[in-house]
Amino acid sequence: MKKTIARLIMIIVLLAAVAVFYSSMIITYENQYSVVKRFGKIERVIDKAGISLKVPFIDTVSAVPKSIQFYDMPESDVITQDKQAMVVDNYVLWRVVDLVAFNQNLNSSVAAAEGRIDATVYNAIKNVIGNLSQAEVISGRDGELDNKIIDYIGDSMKQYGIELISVETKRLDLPVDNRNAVYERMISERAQKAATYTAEGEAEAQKIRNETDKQVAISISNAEAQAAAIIAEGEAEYMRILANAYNTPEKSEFYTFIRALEAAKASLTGEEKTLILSADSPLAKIFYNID
Amino acid sequence: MSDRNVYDYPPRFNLRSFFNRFGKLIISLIVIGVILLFAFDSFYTIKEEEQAVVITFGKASAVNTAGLHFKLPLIQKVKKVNTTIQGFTIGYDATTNQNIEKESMMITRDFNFVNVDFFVEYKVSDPVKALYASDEPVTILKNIAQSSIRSVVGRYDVDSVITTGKNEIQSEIKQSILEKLNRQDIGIQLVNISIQDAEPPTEEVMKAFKSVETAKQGKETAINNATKYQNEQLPQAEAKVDRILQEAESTKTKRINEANAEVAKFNKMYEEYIKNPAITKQRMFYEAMESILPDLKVIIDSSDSGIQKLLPLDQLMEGGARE
Repeated sequence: MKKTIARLIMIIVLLAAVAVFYSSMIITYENQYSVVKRFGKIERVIDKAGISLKVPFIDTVSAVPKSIQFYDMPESDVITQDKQAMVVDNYVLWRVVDLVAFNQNLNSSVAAAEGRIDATVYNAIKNVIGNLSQAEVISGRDGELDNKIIDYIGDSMKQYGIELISVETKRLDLPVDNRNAVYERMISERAQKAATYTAEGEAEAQKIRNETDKQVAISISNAEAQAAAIIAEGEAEYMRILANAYNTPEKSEFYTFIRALEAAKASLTGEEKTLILSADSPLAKIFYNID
Repeated sequence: MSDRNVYDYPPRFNLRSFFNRFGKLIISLIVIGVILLFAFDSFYTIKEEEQAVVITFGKASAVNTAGLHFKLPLIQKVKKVNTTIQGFTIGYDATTNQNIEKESMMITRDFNFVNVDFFVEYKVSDPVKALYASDEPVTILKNIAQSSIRSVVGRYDVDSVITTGKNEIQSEIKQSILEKLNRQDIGIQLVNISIQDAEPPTEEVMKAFKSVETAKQGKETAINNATKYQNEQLPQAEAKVDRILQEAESTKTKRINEANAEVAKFNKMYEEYIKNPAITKQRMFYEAMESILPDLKVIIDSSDSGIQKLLPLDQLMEGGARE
């Protein structure tokens, strides 16, 4: 019997030893702080990963996240200064920086921290956007809006031992019922653009045609002028050659005679022509003889 | 004790004898099990496309050479991290190809909506940080990407987003994500982000956009047609100019030739004429009259008594030239 009791005691002692061993060991992972409390008071904080020791049973340990925390805020409606409704969707990256404050005010609870962050950031967004016109909100998305929100929050999260690393807008939109108006406007803008292109095309085409017609008219007119000059040259040459040919009084006289006959022929042939002759002209004399 | 032996029947099923018989076997089985467990828990393998993080009492260290590695059984834990390039989509569901409007719809600088889809590629650059610097590094990357996309797209007008500015927008977004990611240092690295699709939001708006494209094409067509007209007309005009000039040249030459011909003819006539001027002149005169008179009415005017006679030349010259 004694033997049995002795064995039992040994087993209990062994178990107790194991319990004490485990209870005096703290394992801290890379993504957490271990907060060691003695009778509820924070005794020390372990911020290096690894194994460390504590007073068994008396010291209690709680893990607080050391890693960057991601909090996706629910989508919410906000009103701009010019009374336009908008939908915003933000996310927050934050981390615990002051373990004492985090423990005192939020009981080291991530969920509680997220509740605080949600309220504070939502309030900041509402106020910042409420002081901007819709146009400013949209054009100011390039970090400007996020900076304004962070400025608005300031260091009010410090009291909770939290640092907001970044507050970013991942969506900034018009409510669904406002969209149709935007679509309408987009369509009308496009229609106008299309009309502009069409008109431009017509105008440019017309210009090209006009230019073409002008060039054609000018070059033909130039050609005609040049042609007239060439023809005139021909005419001058013609006259010069003839004038040279009739350069003696005899030739000149004979030429005049031939031309007179030709002219008479040309003007007197044809229908219904009448010739009036003076009675003493040689021809008339001939006619008298006939008569 | 010996009494009990009597009542235990059959004696070989007695607990003690059971232990006596099988105790050693059970103990050796346990020992073998523990040894096997230790044996199997004391090594691990790393493939080329992964890295391992070995955790010793919570402390993490990275192991990045592929192959077989040893560890302390039970005490050391190993987490494997995929280090290949991985990707996710923004704006649509990669498996169903369904548009996710909340992610893809955004406002441009000129207050237009566009639907833009992206594909993001990333890889783990630091396994320890990827595991411990944040809880969900990929979710953080996705949100950073969304925020960057929206702010960059918000700086461009709709035409750039849909057509010409895609490359510029892509590289600006990439730059923005890299900066933000760098600030957070969560152990993952952006490899690339690319625009998959950038489209107007609804069918009707799309149609309106297409009509602009059509109008643009129409403009080009109109200009091309006009240019075609120009290309036809100018050579034609050139040809016409050439014709006019050639004709003028030919007229000129013709005229000169006429003159020369006339002079030649005259000279020949003159040669003959000069031999006997008076007679030739008479002859020529009467020849001319012969050809003229048959068609003429002739009125002879004697200056003292006015018009005296009208010759009925038709009758006179009956049987002449007129037939």
